[in-house]
Amino acid sequence: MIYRRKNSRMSPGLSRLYQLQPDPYDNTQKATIRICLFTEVTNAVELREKVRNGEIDAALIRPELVYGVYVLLAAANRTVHQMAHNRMATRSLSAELIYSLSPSRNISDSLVTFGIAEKSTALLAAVFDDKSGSAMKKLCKQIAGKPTDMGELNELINAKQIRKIYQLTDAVYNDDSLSDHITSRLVYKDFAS
Amino acid sequence: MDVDMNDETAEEKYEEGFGFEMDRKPMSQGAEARIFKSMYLGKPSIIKQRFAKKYRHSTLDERLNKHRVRAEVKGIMKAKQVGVETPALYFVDGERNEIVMERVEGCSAKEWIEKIRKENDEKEFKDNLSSFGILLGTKVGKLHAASVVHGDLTTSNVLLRDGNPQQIVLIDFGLCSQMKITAEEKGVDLYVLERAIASTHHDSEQLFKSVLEGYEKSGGKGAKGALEKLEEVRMRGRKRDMIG
Repeated sequence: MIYRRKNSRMSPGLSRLYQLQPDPYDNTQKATIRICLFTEVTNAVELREKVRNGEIDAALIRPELVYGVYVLLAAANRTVHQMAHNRMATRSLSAELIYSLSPSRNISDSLVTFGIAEKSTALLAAVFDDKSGSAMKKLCKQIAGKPTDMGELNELINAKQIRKIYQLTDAVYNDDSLSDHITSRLVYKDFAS
Repeated sequence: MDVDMNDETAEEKYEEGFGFEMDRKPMSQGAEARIFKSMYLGKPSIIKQRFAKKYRHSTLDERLNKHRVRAEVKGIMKAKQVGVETPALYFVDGERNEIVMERVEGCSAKEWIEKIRKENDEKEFKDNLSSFGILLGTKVGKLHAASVVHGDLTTSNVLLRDGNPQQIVLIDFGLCSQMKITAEEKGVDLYVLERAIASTHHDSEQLFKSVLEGYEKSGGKGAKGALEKLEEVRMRGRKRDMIG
């Protein structure tokens, strides 16, 4: 815990760094993603505009639709895999991440659904290859909001809407199986039809 | 300056509990694929790796492997959608023909049957077997009703989560087919299971009888046709035409 506090001086306080493998279990290739949750965001409209015109190179995601860190990381790993094999469907890693989260193969629908909305007051910011935290730090300055512990994500999740989007309405799931189901759905997308 | 230094020691700062690991030795190896135990982003998983077979023409081999990975992914997902439990998919590498999926802890139906044969007296054994059979039949019926034929139903391809016979997880959908499924194909699917049971478990006629019972209950409109076809297939074997 002391360790974390020490780190927080250089990287934006509550962001977290995760390791990815573009080809799972091939340890020679590595990628990373840094994620930070922001709440009490007041400039979503402006942020959306900046993402669209390329001023911000980060994925800004609606936290209410992300059923836990694992789901986001599974999508992120798909993203770096597609990138490594030149199979991205979108123009940037950040957009690809948002697309990867979606069960739909319609790119613009996916970006609208999972990207932040004008009314969003919370967002998940994700940046690839930002080991040092400098990119997140820069991004942090542009977000008028409060960096928040990732643990808070659970409070923001809208399970009902998630079920609707991933078409998981009728069966009963526990937390683990719901997250597994969502991940299966994401993976399946590239093989549908 | 400060940033660069931190980059060097970044290794330690990854969040724990989301790592990748993979056993060097396969936990099982079949004719089609090798299975390795692994961790995927911190979740217990397995890797199913379909390897190239040297005895097949390379073009054919590649096509078959690709087709089976695809069939497996689609079969697993479709089964989930109709309420038949299958392992969760975590990652698929279409190039290398690898699927990373959930590691289901428990045992296979095959192991379970032989275990209860030892532990139960004859009546208990039969009762347990038939209630399990009915449930399995229901699952197969659901699949068939959704136009999915598993293609390789055996008691080894039926897992029991935590060893619980109420929690059936079907695996190995590499040979499954979907859409435009005929009663004939469903009949063959059942026949394969019947043969598999007869050859792996002695004195287990009860099991398949119960499977059919459950199947009839859940199989919907097509179930009757499939059962009739099963009779036909039984008479002549799995292959349709034997006319020289």
